[in-house]
This record gives sequence, C-alpha cells and structure tokens, in this order.
Amino acid sequence: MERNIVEEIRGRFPKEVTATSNLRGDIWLVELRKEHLPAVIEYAHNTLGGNLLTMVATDRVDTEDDYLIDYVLGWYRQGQIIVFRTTARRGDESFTSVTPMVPCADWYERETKEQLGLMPVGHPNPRKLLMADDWPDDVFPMRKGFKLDTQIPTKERSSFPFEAPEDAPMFNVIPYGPYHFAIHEPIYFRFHADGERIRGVDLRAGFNYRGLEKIAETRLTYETIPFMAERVCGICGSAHAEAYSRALEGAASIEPPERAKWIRVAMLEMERIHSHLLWLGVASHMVGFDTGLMQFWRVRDKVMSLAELLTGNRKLYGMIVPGGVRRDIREDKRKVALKVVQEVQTEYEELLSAVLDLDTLKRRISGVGHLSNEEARRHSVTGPMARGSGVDMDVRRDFPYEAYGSLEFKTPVEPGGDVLARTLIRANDTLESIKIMRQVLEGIPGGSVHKPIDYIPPDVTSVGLVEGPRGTDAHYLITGRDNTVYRWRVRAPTYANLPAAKLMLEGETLADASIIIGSIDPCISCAERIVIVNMKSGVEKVVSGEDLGRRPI
Amino acid sequence: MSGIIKLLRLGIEKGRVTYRYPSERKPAPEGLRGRPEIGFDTCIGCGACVRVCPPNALTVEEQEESWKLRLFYGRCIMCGLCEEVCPVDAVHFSEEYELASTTKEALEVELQLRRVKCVSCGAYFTTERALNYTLSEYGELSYDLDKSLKETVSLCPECKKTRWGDASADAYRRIKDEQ
Amino acid sequence: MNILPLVVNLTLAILIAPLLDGLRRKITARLQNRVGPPVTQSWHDVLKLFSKEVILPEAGGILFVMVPVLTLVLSLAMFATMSTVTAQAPMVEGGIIFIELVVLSAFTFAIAGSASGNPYGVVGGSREVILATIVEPSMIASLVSFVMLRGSTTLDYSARGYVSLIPLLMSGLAYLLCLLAESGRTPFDLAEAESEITGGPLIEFSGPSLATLKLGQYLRNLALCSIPALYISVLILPGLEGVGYSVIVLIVYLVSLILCTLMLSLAESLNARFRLLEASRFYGFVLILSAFSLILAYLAPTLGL
Repeated sequence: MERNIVEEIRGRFPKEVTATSNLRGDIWLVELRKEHLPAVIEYAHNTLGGNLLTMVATDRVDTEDDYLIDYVLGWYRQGQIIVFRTTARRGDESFTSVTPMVPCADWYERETKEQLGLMPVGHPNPRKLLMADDWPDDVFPMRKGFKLDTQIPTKERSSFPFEAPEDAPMFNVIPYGPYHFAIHEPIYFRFHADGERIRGVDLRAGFNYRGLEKIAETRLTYETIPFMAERVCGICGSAHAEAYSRALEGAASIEPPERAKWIRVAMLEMERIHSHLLWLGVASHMVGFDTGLMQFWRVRDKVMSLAELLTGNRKLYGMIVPGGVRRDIREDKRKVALKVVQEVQTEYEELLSAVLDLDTLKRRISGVGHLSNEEARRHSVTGPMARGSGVDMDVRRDFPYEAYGSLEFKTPVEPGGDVLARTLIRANDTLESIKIMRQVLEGIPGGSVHKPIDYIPPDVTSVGLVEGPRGTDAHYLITGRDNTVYRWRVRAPTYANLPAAKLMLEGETLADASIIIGSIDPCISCAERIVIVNMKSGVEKVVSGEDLGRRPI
Repeated sequence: MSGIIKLLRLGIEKGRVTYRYPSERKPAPEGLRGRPEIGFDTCIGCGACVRVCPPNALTVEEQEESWKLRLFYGRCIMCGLCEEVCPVDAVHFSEEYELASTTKEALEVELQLRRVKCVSCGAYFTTERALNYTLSEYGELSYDLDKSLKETVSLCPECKKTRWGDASADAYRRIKDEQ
Repeated sequence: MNILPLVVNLTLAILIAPLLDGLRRKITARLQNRVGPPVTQSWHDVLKLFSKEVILPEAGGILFVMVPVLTLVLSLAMFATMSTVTAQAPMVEGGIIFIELVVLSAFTFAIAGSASGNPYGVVGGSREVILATIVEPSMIASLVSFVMLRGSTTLDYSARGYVSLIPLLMSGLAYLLCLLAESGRTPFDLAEAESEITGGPLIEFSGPSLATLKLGQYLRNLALCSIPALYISVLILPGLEGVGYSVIVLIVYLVSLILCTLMLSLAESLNARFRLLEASRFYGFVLILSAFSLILAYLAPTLGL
C-alpha cells in the first residue's frame, strides 16, 4: 500500500501547510505555523498512524531570530519519515502543546520547556523532566547563550510535585528507586500501594542527565561525537553511534563502502545478541531465578569475548564512525568468529529450551504487565514493547539501511501484550540476530572499510534511524559550521517506552513491579539523589549524604 | 519438571566456567585496546593526539622551554584516536587491562620535551624534535629564495606571517618592476 | 540439664552454622557453573560486619536494637533442647520447647521489618507473617506427629523400639517441605526478596546488628537441619549399642546436614521465586500432608500400622 503521506496531509490541511520539500530520500519536510501544530500532528499520529519518533527544538536566535520546533513522525509500513517544522519568534517563546491529544508527546514538550524555555501552552503538567529539582526555572541550558561551565548554586530544600491518585491518603507510598536492587540504574517510580496492590504510579526521571547534547555542540567535533554517542548507553552504544553516523552521512550525502556496511551490521547484531542475553539474565534475576542469570550470562560472555577479538573491547566497541568502520575483520578472525557464533547458537538454544520449560518461571511472567495494542500505538512505544503487543515495526525491514536489504531475517511479533510475550520476542530476536551474523560473516564482500568525508554542508537537517535492541533509536541533527553539529538530539527507545510503564503497573502487585519495569528493558543511566517523603505530613526534602545513614531510604 | 531436569543437567555438564582470579587469569586477545603507551624516544611533541582526544585525557602544559604532555588514564576511554593520528607511531595500545589503582598519581604519565626559540622574536613556539622532524621530512627543499629551510622553519607563526607578508610584498614589487 | 551436651551443642552450633550456609552457597555456585565463594565465606561476612560502625535509623526505636539479639538468643536456645552429636540431649522433654522456639523465632523476622520504619521492611514483614501463618502450623503438626510416634518429647538418639513407618515418612516429607520456607531461600524467600522489595526487613540493618541477625538466622537454619538426623535415627539406630553408637550418631548428623543443604541448594538453583498466593497454595498442600501424618500418628496404635 504505497501512498504518499505528505500528499495526504497537504490534501487535508491545504491552508495550514505552508511548504513541503524532500530533505533526502525518504525524509520529508512539512512546514506549518505553530498554531496549527496540534491539529496536524493529531491527524498524522492518531488518524494516519504515524509513530512519534522525536521532537526537537533548536535555538536559532543569533542567526534567524527564532526557535525551530520540529516534530518527527515515522510511518514504518510506508517507509516514510516526516519532519513537521514550525518556528517561534524571539519574544514569543511558546507553542501550542499537542499532548492533550497525543499523550506520547508529553516528555518531549516538558524537556523543550526546561531546556529551551519554549512554553507548551495547554500541556497538562509541565513539570521538570531532566533537570535537578533545584535548577532555577529561568535558566535554559540548551540555549546558545548558556555557557557550558556556568555554575548554578544548589539549594538546601527543593521538591518535585508528584501526582497522586484521588484516594491517596489511604495508600502507602512505596518509593521504587531511585536506588533499587532490581533496576541497575536510578529511576524513581513512586507507588501508592494498598498492601501489595499498586493503585497509583508516578515517575521521576532525569537522574542521569549528563548534558551530552550541549557538550557535543560546544566541545566536540564530528569525529569525536560517535565516541560520545556510544557512551549514551553502555549496552546499546553501537546503535547510537550508528544512528549518528547515518544521520551525518545522510546530511553529507555519502555512503560508506560495502564492506563497511556489512561490518556495521555484524557489530549491531552482535550487540543485539549481547543485550538480549543480558536482559534475559536480568529478568530471571528479578523473579528470583538466579541460575537463569548465571547461565544466560555465561553464554553472553562468549559473545563479549568475540567482541573483544573483533573490536578490541568487550563493550563500547568504538567501531562505527561516520564514513565506515575503524577496523577490518581479518580472515583468520572471521573464521574464529563463525565458530563462536555457532557455539553461541547451540548453547543458547539449549539454555532457552530449559528455561522456557520451567513452570515456576513461566508462572511469574504470564499475564502480568499487560499493554494492549491500542495503548501501544497511542503511546508510540517501540521495539519489543510494541511488538509484544502486536504492533509490527522494525527499522531494519521498513527503512532498510546498511546491508539489511540483502539479508534474510524475520521480525517476531506476539499478540499477548504481557511480559511473557516480550520475553519470547527478545528470545526469538536473539535467534534471528545469530542467523544474521552468520550470513554476514559468511558472505561479507571485499573492499575498503572507510571512506573519509571531505565536506559536510552546514545547516542541513538529517534524521538517522536504527533498530537498537530496545527499539527505534532516532538521532536528529542539524549540521553546523565549526566542524561540529549545530543541534544534536538523541532519542533513545526507552524515552518512548518508559511513560507507558505507568499503564502497565497500575493494578499489579508489588512482587511483579520489578519484572514489569524490567520488561521494558530500561536503559537509563545514573546520578545520585534521594528524595524522601514524610508520610505524615507529605513534606519532601532532599537528603544530604550525612543524613542518609539515619533515614530510611 | 522437564525444565528442572534440563537446568540440572546444564549445571552439571558445563563444569566450571569462571576463573579463580587472581591466580588464574583470562588471557587478553590480540588487538585488545588496553593501556595506551607513549614512546618517549619517538614522540616529537606535535600535539595531534591532544587535539583529537575526546575526553581530554591527554593534555599539554607549555611553559617557557618546557613542553609537558600529560596522559591521565582515569579519563582515557581507550578509543584509539591518538594512535591513529600520531605521525610517528609513538602511541601503542598494550594488552594490559588491569589498571585499577588506589592513588590518582599512579594513573598519570608525564612526558617532557624541550622547546626552541624563534630566531626572529625569541618566543618559544615548538619542540625541538618537531622542528627536526619537519626538516628531516623535507631535506634540502626551500621555499624562500634567500634563506635556508632551517631558518624559515625556525620562525614562530607570528614571525612567519610577517616574513611571508614581506616576501610576498617584495616579490610583487619585483614582478611589477619587471613589467 | 546435662552440661556436657549443652556445651558441645552451643560450641558446635556457633562454629558450624555459618559454615553450613557457606556450603549451601558453594553447592549453588557449582550448580551454576561458577567457582563460588569459599565455604568459610559466611564467617568472613559476619566478622566483617561486626567490625563496621553502628548506624541506627531515626524511625527505629528500642525494638530495632532488640530484634537481632532476640533472634540470636532464641536460635541458641534451640540447641539447648535437642541433641546434635551427643547421644544424650541437654534437656529432658525438650521437644515442646523446641517447637515453641521455632514458631517464635519465625516471627522475629516480621517484627524486624516493622521495627525499621521502612516501607519495604513493613511489606516484607507482612509477607513473612502471612507465610508463617501457613507454614508454622504444618511445621508444628509434623513435629508433634514425630514426637508422638517416638513416644517421647525428648529430642535425643536413644532407641525407642518400633515406630510405624507411614506416618513417619509423611511427617518427614512435610517437615522437609516446611524447611524450604523456614530457611528463607528461593523459592520461598519472598519475605526477603532482594530484587522485589530490596531485602524486606533486612534493609535497615547494618554492621553489628546485621551480623547478629544473620548469625541468628544461620543458627536457626542449623537447628532445623539437625532434626532430620533424629528422623533417620529412629529408622536405623534402634538396637545399636556401645562405642560404635557415638560414631554412627556423628555420621548420621553429618549426613542429615549435608542432605538438607543439598536439598536447599537444588531448590534454590532450579526454581524462580514464588509469589505470596502461589506459596500459600503450595503450603496449603503441605498443611494437609502434615495434618494427615498427625492423625495417622495418633491413630497408629489402634490401626495397627
């Protein structure tokens, strides 16, 4: 069913759309005035079924005297990406929020407000998202005028306005996080629990906000950003480096050599296998099945040793850079790699059949953490979360990149919508990845592995999509002039999946909270802040280090 | 029940897969990006590695005659860019991966080289080794009609600009006079 | 009170209890293809914890300080009621007191949870109470039926003549199943559940209080793992006399410890954690089993088993 979405939108909104153009290949630009944003985005997302990939605002006050606001939506089945662009003039720093009609835009708009000071008018609760509780409300770090080394004084007392259900005083407040043994990274879910049943959930993120985008704009260059991108996440680093490289290569209109593309696929799939094995181990641990943890990680160690052999490091491979890859795969190493992949497959299949036959484990993960197909679409979730609820989306198949067009693989989809469905998807994904790796290692073409990029034109908008282990990784960038980016926005898949956690947790028991949150496969990162709530008075206080020893956490 | 039997069999059959560290150690594979080592005898002090290091683990301190390169392993991400850009292959990644230390000082490496003065204004501008490297690369070629290459190269960037400016003005005048 | 068995018991108990836990960890590790910690690891842990500073939560109170000591004292007291490697028990007619101590010490964990003032402690404590409400009656029933079958409440290795087999085996099976929950390890570690409720009651304890609490738990575990020795002795010891008797008692005791630890390790490594409802259903079945064993033990003479 090939239809041009841009034409449909222009046909439906002839007056509102001021201009359309093709940025590159399958990426289109639709410009409109900011008053018409909600109507158009709502139509594109809810009626036409687009997936909200990312939303970015850029400060162009010095050059154009305005702020750019871009909503990027993607249609997987049609293989199209549309950037809906509008501007807000200096002096009128606001735009109409689309969150009331498109709930998944919630986090993006909140971030825009606190980072750039553009007020989303009509947003139901524009609270802070990523910045610290005591960050002043009128300092906007992503504006060009804000210097990276500005010192902001911290406050003794600050608080975060959590939402509570109507009958909150009846329930216990249970702080899940920011420090919890199950989640491995700080994220703060606040449960209002009635005994063991969870009645209300609220979420505070941003414990690991490191200001990478600002650093990239000011201190790094095109060459060094991929190393930073890789460290956005420890487990899916290559996917980020790949998305950035693709975005940059798209902006410069160059293609890496064939062999480089195949090596990139090998890196990405190796990372996917590693990530899913890690997740299976961690999920086992969350339901108390430590043997699963040990066994899955035993198999995963083989993959990490393979990575060490091919790339020089067990994780954070440092292989994918714009223009190609940094190391070639020597013939003898390729043969060893094929052998290892075969071993991994045998061990993994053996282990998987043992674990999936375990009744005590299956009982824990069936029927919990339900997310319906409707909810999955409405919240634009991505990756195994979406496919576990029957939404079929896969960047490798729908927007074929690198060598995926010439490889054979399936995309597992499950209709169940519970944790078991997501587990099966990740388990089958791993098998598919092993298949892909074998194809790559057997059929890789010859040639060079890197083509230097001579010239990158400035002021080009580009979007790079990659199917990471957790879902669609979307990097948006606008090229700059000083050998660095003008704006770089990383949208990790967990950013889209986390807000849906609230839907899955309500009504479940505390015992299942860990595995439900774990089934998102959250990939956040860390910082240290503890907030306590005085259960009697509802007053909150940030606790200092010395106090920590005396207070219940 | 079958899951339990299979798991039990896995537990018994696979044996022990972990190492009794530190008496048993896993050998590092070839090509592991372990600790980067800078060869003191080879380094020419060009500063390319400093320019390219993403986390600024490599820093340079210039004072009078001394040019000090400092590598702080605590910041190093072992990306390998320094090895790539070094013009004289002074940086090599060893396969050493056990870099834990109880003091910060143990993770710092310093390399000090001597700088030379500009023959015109007397300011220190580059290392002696970098200067000699340039000369050795280009032999007896010269681009200034009257001066030797060594003299031309031993000028700091400011004086080079002045000299270029004068030389260009002279050449221009000469050509104009000949017309 | 017989002094020699008492002294032997207490010394042995304190020395061996952490070693038994270490053995469990070692066996579990080997089943997971790991080297695992050395068998003395739990001793190292306890000693290290004793060397740390004492930190008390503000919401704690006197109960917070008392609970670890209470657990330790109750667990030690268990060793005054039964014999471990000596043929004679320290206390005559100690069986009922032993059962009372088992039930009491189960609830100290729950008290620890509420005493800490932490919401996770409260949740863990309440889980422990709910589970104990089903497990303890089963434990009581199986132990009472055992005592009834032997015809004496003294927990020692003395020969007692014929004991009917079927109720004994039923009672033994019920006891072993209860041991799974009493030891507080997977699949029934829901009170402590590290990955769900961050350690439950244990979360606020640190340093010496945690060391005392852990030591109390290890001792309780050791005491409970010593009971199967008595079950085995009822089957094989009647009729034995002399010096060989003491050696046999020692061997039977060690076998009991090792078998129990093996059972606990296998259960721990081959199962996921049970949730409250599932655990309650499982122990409902065990309660029926132990109730049956109690009824049969009572009726054995009349039924001629």
